[in-house]
Amino acid sequence: MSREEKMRDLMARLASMSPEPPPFPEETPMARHQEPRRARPALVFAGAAALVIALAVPLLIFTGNGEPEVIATTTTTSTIPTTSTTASVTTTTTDATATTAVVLPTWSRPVFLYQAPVSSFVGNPALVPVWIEVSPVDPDVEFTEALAAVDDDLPDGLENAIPSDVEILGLRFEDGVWIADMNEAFLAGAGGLLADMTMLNQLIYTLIYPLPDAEVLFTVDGQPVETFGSEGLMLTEPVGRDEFLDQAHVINLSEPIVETDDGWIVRGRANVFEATLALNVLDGSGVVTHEEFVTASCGTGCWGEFEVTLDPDLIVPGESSIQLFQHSAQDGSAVDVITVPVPAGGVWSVTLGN
Amino acid sequence: MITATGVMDNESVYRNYSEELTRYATGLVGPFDAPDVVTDACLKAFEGRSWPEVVDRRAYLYRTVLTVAHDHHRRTLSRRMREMKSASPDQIPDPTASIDLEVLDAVVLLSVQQRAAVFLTYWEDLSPDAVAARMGVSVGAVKRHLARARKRLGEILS
Repeated sequence: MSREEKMRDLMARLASMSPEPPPFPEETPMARHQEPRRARPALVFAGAAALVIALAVPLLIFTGNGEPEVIATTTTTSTIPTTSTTASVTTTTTDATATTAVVLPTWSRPVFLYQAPVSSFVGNPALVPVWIEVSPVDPDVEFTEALAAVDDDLPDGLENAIPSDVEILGLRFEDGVWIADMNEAFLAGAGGLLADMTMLNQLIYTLIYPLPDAEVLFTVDGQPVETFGSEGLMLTEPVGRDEFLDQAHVINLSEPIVETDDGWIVRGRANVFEATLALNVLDGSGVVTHEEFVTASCGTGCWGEFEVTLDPDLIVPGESSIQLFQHSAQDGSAVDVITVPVPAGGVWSVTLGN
Repeated sequence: MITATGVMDNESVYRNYSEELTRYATGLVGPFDAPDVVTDACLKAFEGRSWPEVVDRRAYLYRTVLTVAHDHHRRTLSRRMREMKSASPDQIPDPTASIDLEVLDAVVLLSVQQRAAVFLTYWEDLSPDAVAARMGVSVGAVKRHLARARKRLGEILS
C-alpha cells in the first residue's frame, strides 16, 4: 500500500468513528462559555509592579560580537525590553515599587528591512538585514518603535513594511518559540497580501535572529491570531523563517553585511537558476569595481545558502554597494537584482524621538 | 425550510450539513468531542452578525468548525486517549462506538490545521485549491500542512 493509500485508509478509519450529529442547537450548550478577556500585558505588568511580583524574564542581550547571551533576571517592569547591543547592562531599583528594571543604554541590533523589486511584475520584496543603532538612551523603547522610527531615516533603497502603529507589547521565548504579543493594529496587516507577508517576514526574521530554527507565535491579547491582514491569514501556529519565504525575493540576505578579520561577509539565501548568482561591488558612482559568481547550496526550485567573503580592499564603507542578481536563462541579462549599500562603520544610526 | 427571500433557515442548514460537519470535527478533535465542537461552531455561526450575508454557508461552517476545534484545548484528544487506555471497558463513555485507538494515536501527532488539511484532502478528496478555500488559508499553507503531516506520520506510513 502506497503512502497516499495509507493516508486515505487512515482518514477512512477516522471518519468511520464519527458519531451521530448532535441535535439542532437551540439552547446554549455548556461548552459555549467565554473566557474572560485577558488584560493587556502592559496593564498586567503595571499591576504587577504594585504587587511586586517577581517574574523571571529572560532577556536576550546581544553582546558586541553578535552572539546572544540569555540573562535570566528578576524584573517587574512596564516594558519587556527586547534586544540590545550594549557593553554593559545596568540594573536600577525604584523606591516606590521596589522593583528592578534592566536599562538598555542603547538599542542596537540587526533589523530586517526590505528592498522593493525593480518591477512588481517580475519579483517580490527582498529581505535585507541591516545593523541599526537607535539613540538616545530610552529604556522604554520597543524594537517596533525603533522600526517605525527608521522610516524617516532608512538606508538607501531599503523600506519598512511594518506600519508605525504596530507594537510588540510583550515578548518571551519558550521552547524555541518567540511568543510576540502584538497590539490590535497588527491585525490589520500592512495593506495588501504581499505587504502583509513582507511585514511578517520582516518581523519573523528580525525576532528569530540569530537563531535560524526558532519560530514566532503572534498573539493579540494573549490569544493566537486567527485572522491577519487583508486576506485573513491564520497565524494560530508558530511560524518560522520558511513560512512566507516564497513570497519574498529569490535572493535575500540572512545577515547584515559586516567586516571581519577575513574580509566583508555577504551571507544569504537564494532560489535561483542552477543555484548560481552573480555579485558585483559598486563604487559610490555606481561603477562596477569587482564581480564574481557565487554558488548557493541549492537552486532551481529550492532555497540554498550562500556566503561570500570579499577582500577588505574592495569595499569603501559608506560609499560601496553590493549588488546581487542572477543571469536570465533566456538572454543572459541581469535579473532579480538587489543592491545593498554598505554603511560607514557597518551600522546605521537612527535617532529616536522627534 | 426556505424563507421568502430564498434563504434556508438555520435548522435546515444544520440538517443539511450537520452530518458532514460532525465527520469533519471527528477528523479534527476525535469522536468524543466532535458533537460539542459542531454544536458550538453552529451556534457561533448562527449568532454571528455576518451570518445573514454569508453566501457559501457550507464553507463558512467548515471554517467555523476549524476555528472552534482549534480553540479546543490542544491536549484534549491526548488526554482522552490516556483516559481511554487506562479505563476499564465499562468506563468507556460509549462502549458501542467503534474506537480505533491506532488511528487516534496517529491523529494526536498532528496539529489541528494539519488534521484539517489531511482530512479534507484524503477523505473529502478535495483539491489543494478547494481545501484552501474550505480552511480559509492559502494553497501554499495547505501544501505545507500536508507536507508536515506526512513527515510527522512518517513511521506510521512507511
